[in-house]
Amino acid sequence: MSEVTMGPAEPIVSAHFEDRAQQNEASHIGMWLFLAQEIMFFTGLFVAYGVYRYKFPEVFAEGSAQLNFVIGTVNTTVLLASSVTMAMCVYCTQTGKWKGQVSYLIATLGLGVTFLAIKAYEWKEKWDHGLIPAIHWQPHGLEHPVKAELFFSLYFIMTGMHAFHMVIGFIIGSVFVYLCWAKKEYGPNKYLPIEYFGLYWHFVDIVWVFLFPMMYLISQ
Amino acid sequence: MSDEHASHHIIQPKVYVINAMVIVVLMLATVAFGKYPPLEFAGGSNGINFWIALGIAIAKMGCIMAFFMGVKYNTSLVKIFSVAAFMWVLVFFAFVMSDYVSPHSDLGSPYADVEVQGAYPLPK
Repeated sequence: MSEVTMGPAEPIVSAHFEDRAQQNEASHIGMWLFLAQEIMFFTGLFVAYGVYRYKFPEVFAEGSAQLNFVIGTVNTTVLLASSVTMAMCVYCTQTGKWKGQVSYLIATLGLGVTFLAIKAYEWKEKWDHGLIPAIHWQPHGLEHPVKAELFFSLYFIMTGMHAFHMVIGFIIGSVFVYLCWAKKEYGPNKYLPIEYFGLYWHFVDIVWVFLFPMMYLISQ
Repeated sequence: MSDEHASHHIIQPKVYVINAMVIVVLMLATVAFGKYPPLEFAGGSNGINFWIALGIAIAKMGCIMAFFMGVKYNTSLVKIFSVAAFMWVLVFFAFVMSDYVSPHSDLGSPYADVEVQGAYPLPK
């Protein structure tokens, strides 16, 4: 156990709950309801993807071939590593390890920024090749130049919304870094906010787990 | 597992490390199947590889949910809520795709093979 005092000395149980277990279960359900609406949000995009991939499989295969699957694999590994560091941050919070808590949280955000930087490089590449729908659509060498714009619209919207969620996660995570480092707000008796931030981060990882094969690994 | 135990369960780091290694192996399998020449079985021109890749993605999601998100150690009620959202996804897909795989579902569409009075031309 760290010598640093982390969080309150006793767990705080609100008056309308029977005990800490019931309070924890209720707050878990609340967080999963939030994640459920996030899942519903992304489902709309995935269904649109599914419909148009079913209707134009050769167009999607051609579009996927324009993407660099090595970069996609690297990005997947980076995001997975960030999930591990986030889970370790939760563990350190639960066991009162202050240095580990702050270090792993900063590592998580650092890996998240790495993911976004690699994504920005990819998008810059797409701009150079004229593959930005509506804004800068000048493809070269594509067999289906008109319909390919549909694939890339879905690509940029879906990866863009995913990146937007990463940015939101980074902002919230930065607040948590301050609260953990300067205020020592969270510890063994108050770790649920860190755990729920972890749930959000893992959810963003899950979205990428589906995005990666659906965008980058469509067989020719 | 009692509710009290579930509310205080602390997952050990080695579980996270093993889980990460399993997910990395599944990721490499995903890449391998994605780049392997497709077999014409089900799913159109993408063959069986699409369904294998989707199955691997669902397995990875299961690993992340069970251990990183700790659903395995939550109470039954929390498990129901966490699984319910993904059940909704399946229902959504089933209803929408049942429309599009039906014959002549694109009736009147500019991309339809069937000529319908009033359909307007668009570039193919």
